[in-house]
Amino acid sequence: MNEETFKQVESVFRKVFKRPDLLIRPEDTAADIAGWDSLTHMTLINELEIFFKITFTFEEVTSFKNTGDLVKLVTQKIS
Amino acid sequence: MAFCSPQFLIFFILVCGLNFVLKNPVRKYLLLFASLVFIGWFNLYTLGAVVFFSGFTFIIAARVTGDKNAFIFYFGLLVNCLAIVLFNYLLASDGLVIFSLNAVDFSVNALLLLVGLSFYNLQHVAYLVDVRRKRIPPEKNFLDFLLISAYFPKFISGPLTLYQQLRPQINWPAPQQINLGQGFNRMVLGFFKKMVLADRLAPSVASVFDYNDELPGITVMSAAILFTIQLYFDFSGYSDIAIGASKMLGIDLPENFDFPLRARSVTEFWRKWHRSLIHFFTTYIFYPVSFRYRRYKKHAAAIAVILTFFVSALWHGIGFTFMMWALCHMVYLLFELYVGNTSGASPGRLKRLVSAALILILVSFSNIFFRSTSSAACMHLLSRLFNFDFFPENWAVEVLAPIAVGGHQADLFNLVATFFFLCLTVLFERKIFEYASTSRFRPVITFLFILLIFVFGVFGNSQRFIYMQF
Repeated sequence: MNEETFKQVESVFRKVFKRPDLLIRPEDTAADIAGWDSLTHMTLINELEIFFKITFTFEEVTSFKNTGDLVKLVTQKIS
Repeated sequence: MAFCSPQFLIFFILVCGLNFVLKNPVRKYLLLFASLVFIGWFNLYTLGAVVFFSGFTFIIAARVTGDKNAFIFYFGLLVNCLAIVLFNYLLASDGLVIFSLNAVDFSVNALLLLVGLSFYNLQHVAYLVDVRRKRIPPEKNFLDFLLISAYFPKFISGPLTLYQQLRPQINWPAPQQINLGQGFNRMVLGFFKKMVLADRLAPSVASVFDYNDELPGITVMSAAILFTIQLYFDFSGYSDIAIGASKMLGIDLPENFDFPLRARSVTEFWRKWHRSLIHFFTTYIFYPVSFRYRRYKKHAAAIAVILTFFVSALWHGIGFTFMMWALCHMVYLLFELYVGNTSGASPGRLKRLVSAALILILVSFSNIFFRSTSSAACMHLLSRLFNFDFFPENWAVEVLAPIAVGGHQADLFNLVATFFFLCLTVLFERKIFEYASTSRFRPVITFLFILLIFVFGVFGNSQRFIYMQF
């Protein structure tokens, strides 16, 4: 997993969940991060799309299981 | 054939025994035959509708992939959605009074004519969407499809099960002995929740909701909270019986509840309440809508919440009361969306308790609309709630009598037994049920729960589950 991409994804998480000190781990799921629920999920996706200048498909955004999968997906998109 | 009826117990013992000794593919055709008998026992019209809609959806699904077949896909969706609306309309137009479990008669025939079909057609909607999106291939064997659609433990009121959740399981080998023990234990806990907890509360709730008495606001609010607890134990009891019965047959159904009375926000409540239906709404309505409009950020989620609860209200029933119930939850969720706290700080014990109590009150308020038997009855209750006489002059007559004793039927035994078990279960629910399911003394505990059902259970009233009306 690309360390730099991981840090950048983490910065987007901090912005969306308004927590400057938030640390994410690859195994984190929505249940592990306060405020990450179905209401905020698409806001997070939109912010990632803007930050990395990428576009997700609907199947992609509903298929990943944890932040590790998300970072892998982002890495694939930007490489 | 309702879960709590003697006919079902005999039927289930027979099916379970045969299922245990038979091997596939005979085993799955036994389950199909049993499912058709189970549905046909309610009504042959229901059975006919089940076979018709299964055949229709099976044929449509084989033709929905490909860009040129959008019309067929939308036609299949439309027919299944119209069927749900039509069933709900027929229920509403029959003047069905479902909640009056003790006090007012209700039209059993109308209910039995249509039982389970709105859950059934919802599964077909999900199946068509998934085939269209190429998440799953269309089923090739009609009998397998019919079994997955009509599988009897989940037919009446779920848990709403997706095709892909059941498809691999129908070919699994026969259940092990451990499945029988775990499943039986789960069924007993379900019967306990239904017959000892939910049905004991029914008269107290009915005495406020089913009569136009001039009660003070606090009595109305207390009855609404008790109804929320009754609905929870009734429906989670039903779900436990369905999940346990299916476990005994070697098939795992999805969980429906995760201790929702402890939720500390309405968003969390909807993650814990009727999870299989919420999973359906989230996957097939909420996420597609919020994804499509994601550039509007929080407003996209707001649009999706409004649309999801609008559809949920239509699915629950046609009328003012369900729309108002949905409107309450729209307001709650939008408030949390725009004003919610995402600090991530873990709240203290007192704050958690206060939050859970507040959420219970908010959900219970919305359930006044959900439980009311008519718009007029609902308006009457609201007028009592928002009245200067919120607190009564005579607490014993105006609060204690209607709520605790059941108002129109003085019953001291009901009062003591109901509130003893209720307090115990609501306070220590997670510990009690987890210990009862996982302890090495499980057989003894199961036997104790059976004893409690026979001593404190309400018999003769248990064939009706609240969610059978949807």
